[in-house]
Amino acid sequence: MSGADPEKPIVESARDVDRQAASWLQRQNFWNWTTEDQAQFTFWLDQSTTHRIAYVRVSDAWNRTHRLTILRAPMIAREVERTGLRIWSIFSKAVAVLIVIVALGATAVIYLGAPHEDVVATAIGGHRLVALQDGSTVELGTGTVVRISQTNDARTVKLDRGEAYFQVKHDAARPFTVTAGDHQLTDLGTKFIVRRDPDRLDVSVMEGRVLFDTKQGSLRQVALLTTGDELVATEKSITRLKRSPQQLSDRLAWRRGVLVFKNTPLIDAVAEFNRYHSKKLVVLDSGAGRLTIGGTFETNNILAFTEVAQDVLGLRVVGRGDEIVLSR
Amino acid sequence: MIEIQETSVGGADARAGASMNAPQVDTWFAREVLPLEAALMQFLQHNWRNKSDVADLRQDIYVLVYESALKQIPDKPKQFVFATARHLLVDRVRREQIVPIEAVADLDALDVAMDEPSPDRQVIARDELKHLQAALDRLTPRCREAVVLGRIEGLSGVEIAERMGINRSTVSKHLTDGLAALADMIHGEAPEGRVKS
Repeated sequence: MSGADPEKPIVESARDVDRQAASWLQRQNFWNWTTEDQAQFTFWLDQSTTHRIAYVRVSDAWNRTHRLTILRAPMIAREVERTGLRIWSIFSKAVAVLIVIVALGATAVIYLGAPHEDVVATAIGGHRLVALQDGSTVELGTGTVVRISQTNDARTVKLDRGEAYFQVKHDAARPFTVTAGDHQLTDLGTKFIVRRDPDRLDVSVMEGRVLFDTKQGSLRQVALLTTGDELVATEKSITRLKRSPQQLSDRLAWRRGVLVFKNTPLIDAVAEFNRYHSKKLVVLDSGAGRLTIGGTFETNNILAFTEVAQDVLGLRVVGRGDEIVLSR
Repeated sequence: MIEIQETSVGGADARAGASMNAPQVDTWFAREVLPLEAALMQFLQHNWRNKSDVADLRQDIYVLVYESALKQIPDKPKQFVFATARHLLVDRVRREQIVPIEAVADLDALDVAMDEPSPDRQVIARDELKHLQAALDRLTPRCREAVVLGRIEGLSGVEIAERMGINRSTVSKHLTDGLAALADMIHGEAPEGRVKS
């Protein structure tokens, strides 16, 4: 760059910006990350579009190297103790491969900020706990983006996509609301989980009460949800179901890094599993898709899942580029 | 209930034609634009004499593409990226009169690049593991060790420092070098001399 033109703003070279982005990414992934770091990072990120793009670019490359961990799994496999977590599986073979390989570093958690609104995101397979000053927590599951804003008289979380578990310190003077598209949930003293897929919103109340409020076109609907309620809203319908404590607890299994299947059709189990990986499982024929599967699987261990498909369901498992194809 | 096709494209949240917020554009950009980087770099290297400008040109093109995607997601990303590249080069030639006109070799041959069939994602994905491994292998030994310990063994920065017997700021530097070099190699650009610690 000549840099001789005084009219031009100071231009950082692409190399410099790429290195800055790499430096931020490694700080987030490998070192203690403080709110001060977050503030500086947000400031840097908002300074220019080049910064943001460089960060997206290096994060994407980093996320791809995740595949290396899958490749190397058998060689470097080691058991990681997790206090308070026991892994059950009805398949001993699955247990043998249920090994934690992907450490937290694999989760390129992306913090992006805008004024008065904290954007917190997780990558595919990511998991992040966000503690608010008031003692409430928001726990993000895989591929999730939320925007959090807090003022003196309101706390608002926008769920752009993905899944989050809310444990709210109720404060009537400062209502806590979660919005997801046209749907809005207001806390009335509670713990609840909200999952937003492209065509569907799913809310389960673990404890307490939540007010659900939605407008579909000009139609507004309100429902009071209490402990054990699950509400599913699609473009066509809104359904309320009653769930057992065990079912509710299974819904939250991802917080422990696992997925729980019980007589789950393979096609649904695969869809769940795929939410955690960029490498996708594909079921070729619908007959195979209807086979049911059970057990507890670590979200980050695709191998354990495919071994069960192979050894227990008798399916053929073939890696095909970006996909793992299951067929009879 | 949930269709496999749907999930395999990563939620399909950034649809062509729609106006998007920044995180959605980030996702779109990573999915649609970054995979074109190898072809774009090749194009720039081929059409711009001063090779040391190429990384900066890429950066400028990315900014133009990103900012226009914030307003509207282009429905043909590849054509849009290369059209943007072409405009930028033509514009540079015009504005910076220092650059002799033959700096730009064959702008008109650009149509070839745009008419190329979309890369077969299957093939790319199959090669990706090999590509990743090769990228990792090209890092300098210490840099590679830090990245492997961090990425594959899942150690923290402090643990890497202990394991390698070096101080933390050196670990930090190795990781930064490693990440920056991996980003270049993974997205397709791999000039020599870039991969040093």
